[in-house]
Parts: sequence; structure tokens; C-alpha cells
Amino acid sequence: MRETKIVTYISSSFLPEDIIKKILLRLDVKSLMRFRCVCKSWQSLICEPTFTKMHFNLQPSSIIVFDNIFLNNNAKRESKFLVHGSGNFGENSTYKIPENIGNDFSRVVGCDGGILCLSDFFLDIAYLWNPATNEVKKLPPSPRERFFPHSSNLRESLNHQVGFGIDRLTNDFKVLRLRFAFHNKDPLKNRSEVAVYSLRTNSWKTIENPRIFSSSEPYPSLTYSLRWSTYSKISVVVNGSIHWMFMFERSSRIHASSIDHDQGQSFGIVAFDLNTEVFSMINLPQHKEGSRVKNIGKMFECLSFIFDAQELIEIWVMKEHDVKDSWIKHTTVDLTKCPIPQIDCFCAPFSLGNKSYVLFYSDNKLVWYDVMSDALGYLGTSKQYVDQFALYAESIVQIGGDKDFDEHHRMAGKNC
Amino acid sequence: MSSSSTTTTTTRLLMLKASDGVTFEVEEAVATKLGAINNMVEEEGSEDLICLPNVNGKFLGMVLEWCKKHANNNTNSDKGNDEVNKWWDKEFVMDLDQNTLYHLLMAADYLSGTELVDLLTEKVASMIRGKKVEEIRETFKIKSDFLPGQEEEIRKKNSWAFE
Repeated sequence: MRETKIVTYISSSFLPEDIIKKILLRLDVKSLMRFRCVCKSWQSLICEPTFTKMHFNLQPSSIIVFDNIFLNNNAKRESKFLVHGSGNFGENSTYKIPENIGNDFSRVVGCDGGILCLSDFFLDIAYLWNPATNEVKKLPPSPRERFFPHSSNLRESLNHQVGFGIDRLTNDFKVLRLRFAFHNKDPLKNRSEVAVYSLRTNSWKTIENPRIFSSSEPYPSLTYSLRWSTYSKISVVVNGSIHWMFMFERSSRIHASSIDHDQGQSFGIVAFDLNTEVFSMINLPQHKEGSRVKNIGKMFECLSFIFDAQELIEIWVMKEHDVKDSWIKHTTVDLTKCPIPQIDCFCAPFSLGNKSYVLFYSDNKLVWYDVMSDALGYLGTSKQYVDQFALYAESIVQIGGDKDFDEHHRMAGKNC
Repeated sequence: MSSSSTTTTTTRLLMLKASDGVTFEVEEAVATKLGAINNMVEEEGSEDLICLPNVNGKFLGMVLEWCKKHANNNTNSDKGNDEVNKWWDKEFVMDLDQNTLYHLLMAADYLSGTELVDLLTEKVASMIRGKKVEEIRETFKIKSDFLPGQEEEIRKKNSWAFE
């Protein structure tokens, strides 16, 4: 009885709820977190998943860069993330890495929906972190691989890749670990394994020898000869799928249509659908042979592809996801005519707002280059090598963080 | 609405009648900036008198003033129009007292004046950004309906947001 009385009381607010909602959508994360205390209807409005999503979609996107400064003769390090908005890439804000994460990570697995996933190298320890609300969740330990025994033949070459993204149909955050073990004598003994973590169930599940290509895949051994290109560390989440650039060994001897053969190395894009948890291959656009660096990125919510052929850089955008004919050449940058310094090893295309950029390393520094205006600059404050970055926008989304895990259980069913 | 039909009917006048009987004669091209009126014109076609029982003359007048200004600024297709509109919008919301602002917002929302609603909600948002919870309750005339302890629990969980 008391509850119903309270509920009817809420509507005494002067403005109707849909207008209140339109006002609240324009607020920053901190104000919203505070205003959950105003009354029950504001609290449930702000915590509603659709509101969270709408609010996230209105936030300006930025690029977040991991900045690692070693102090006291490398004994101590000071780690933080710097956030650069578009425009002149002025440093907008800094996120200190929470104490409970500390130095417990070495890589950025990915970033999606306002959540960063950080882990150690093999994803044995992993965290989800919302930098805007400072909520942290430590993931349960990932499953031990079953067929990677300490056999010398298999350990010979172990390869792995990780990814993180949100399944937009269920609003579930998922972390993915792929492992490949290559038998150094018998390719038929090669093995692969996928482990998928779901925040909703807070648990991992393992898929052994997953079909990375379609079910009608004619060359099963191809699946196991996958090696990830070393300069493409960061996965790209587009259209509800995680994407990686990969590279085949020359020895694979396989000629599938979606694989691009180039100087004995074969390149392709593997996609993992976060909803169906199925892998597929995405065709690369037609491009010049002999390019040094190939990589993928995200531009205007589309998958994009970049290659660097010494004298020029071409950027392609896949207008319609997984439709080969929809690859469109976005830009060609003539390196002989623009002020770009020597590109060391890596580059990635991305967009912020309505601008297109290329990110690359030069002289151990991370450089951004605006392809339209020719402007460029450095990211990160430390003069050290920064190899971790992600596209980022703030979100009020809650991830059942460790600090209030108990409260979460007590308040289960109340959404917040 | 297609642009060709707009140009052929720019001179047509509509009569808008507010809840308190006050009427406004407005060019169709101006009035149809409001989604609600645009719908009525498209559905009912020939009706020249439109009754708007949920908005009074004072606020309907203000909404129409905004529409007129934007319609005029947009007819000369200079690139500086956006700047002019922005400057004019700033002037428009600058001295609104809270009560007028809320009523105007409700009127704009009722009339589906999307751009005006955007302008006014941004104005309200700019007034409450960074404010304390108590100030928000005061501003929106909201009484806390949390049970004892509930509010403290939320505050405790996100103490950083209250610093």
C-alpha cells in the first residue's frame, strides 16, 4: 500500500516526464549519477537501459590513449588515460586508473558502449571499467585451455587474439579470447579454442575448434593456420561484430576467395558476431599489391580499411556491413605531397565527428593526421611509446561493479 | 513535406486559435515548422482555422515568434544563416524566467516544434548542470519519495558524483 502511494506522488513534478527525459539526456554523466537521488521516478528514468543507450549515443566521441610514465628509475609507473576530443585534439580530460586495477593490466582489449576492457597479456586477468563513473568489475578467471598441454610440439607456436564489445540486441557486454596452437610437424593437429565471457551471466564458456569460416568451409585446415598480423593489436567493433585483421602463413597453400594474397602473405578480416557468436570472413576491397601495412578501423560507424604502399595511403570504407561491393575508396593520401613524417609500423583509420583521421607511429610517438586539412599532431604526453588507444564516449551504463556487488544482489530486479 | 508544395503555398494564411480564444494569423510556411500543425494541415487539408486547446495565447505567440524568425532567416540562403539563427536563439532564451521557460517548453512540445524543444531543453539543462540534488528538487518542485536510507545508499555508492 505504501508503495503505490509513493508512486502516484512522483507525478507532482512540474514538467511531464517525457520533457524531463529530454532535459536529462543533455546532461553529463556526473550530474546524472547525482540526480538519481532526486526522486524515484528520476532514478528509474536515468537507470533505464533505453535512456542509457540514448544518452550514450548523444555523447561526443573521442579517442582515449593509455599514457604510461615510469617514475623513480622505472620502479614506479604512473598510468592514466588521456581523452582527446576531435577538433584540435586538445586534451580534454584524464582518467586515473582505479586502485583496484592498478598495474594489473598490460593491454586494452577493446572499448565499446562507454566501457573499457583491460587485461594482462593472455587475458588471465581482465577488468571492465567505466571511466566516467569509475565503476570496475573484475572478471572471473578465464577457463584454462584444455588442449594446450605443455607439449613441446604445440607450444612451439601459440597465438592468441582478444576482443570486447556489446551485443546491442541484449545489451550484454562480451569478452572474447581466441587461441591457436600450431603443431610444428602435423598441421592436422593444430588446435583452436574460443572462450566467451558474458557480463549478463558473469561467466565464461568455451567453444573448441570453432568454425571461423562458414560451415561449408572447404579447407578445415585453414582455420587452424590463422596467424594474426602483429601490427593490428586492436580489434574494431562495427555493426555488432568484433573484427580483426589477420594474416595467413605462406604455407597454408589455400586459395579461398576472401583471402588476399600478397607477397606470400595472405590477409583477411575475421568478424565475430556478438549476438549469434558466429565467426565469418569479410572480403577486403580490391587494392594495390605490395602494400606495407594493412589495417582496419572504424569510420562513420562503418568498417574501414587502410593500406600504406610507400608513396600513398588509401583508405576504404565498407558502406554496408559485410557487402563486398559496398567498399568505397574514401581517401588517397599522396605521401610525397603531404607533411606526414615517416610511418613506422602501424596505422589505423578512424573518424571523430565529421572528420577523418589516420593514426600512426612515427619515431615512437603516436601521431594523428587529419586527411582533409593536412593537420597533424602527437597524442599522449609522455615521450614514450604509446601503443594502446581506443575510440571512446562516456556512458552512465552500469556493469555491476565490484564495490557494490552486494548491493547489486540485494537490489536485483530493481534495474539499478 | 516536399519543398515544391511549400513554395506554392507560402502565401496561404492559417488562423490559429489558442485555448484562451486569442487568434493568430500566420503564413502556412511558418506554422508548418511545427510538426503538430503540419500534420493537421496535411490531414485536414482545407481547414484554415486550427484550434489549439492545450496552449494559451501568450505562449503560442512566443512559439510563433520563434518560428517566424527562423522561417525568415532561412529564406535567404546565405551561409551565415546558421550563425544568425544561433545568435537569435541565444537572445530568445536569455531572459526567460523559469515559469515562462517551462510553459513555453510544454507549448513547444505539444506543438511538436522539435528544434525549439531542443533549444529550450538545452537551456534548462544548462541551468541545472552541476547543481545539487536539493536545488533540483526546488527547481522542478519535486519532493523526495525515497524511503529512509535509500537516498543515502545511492549517495554512498557514488560519492564521487556528490563532491
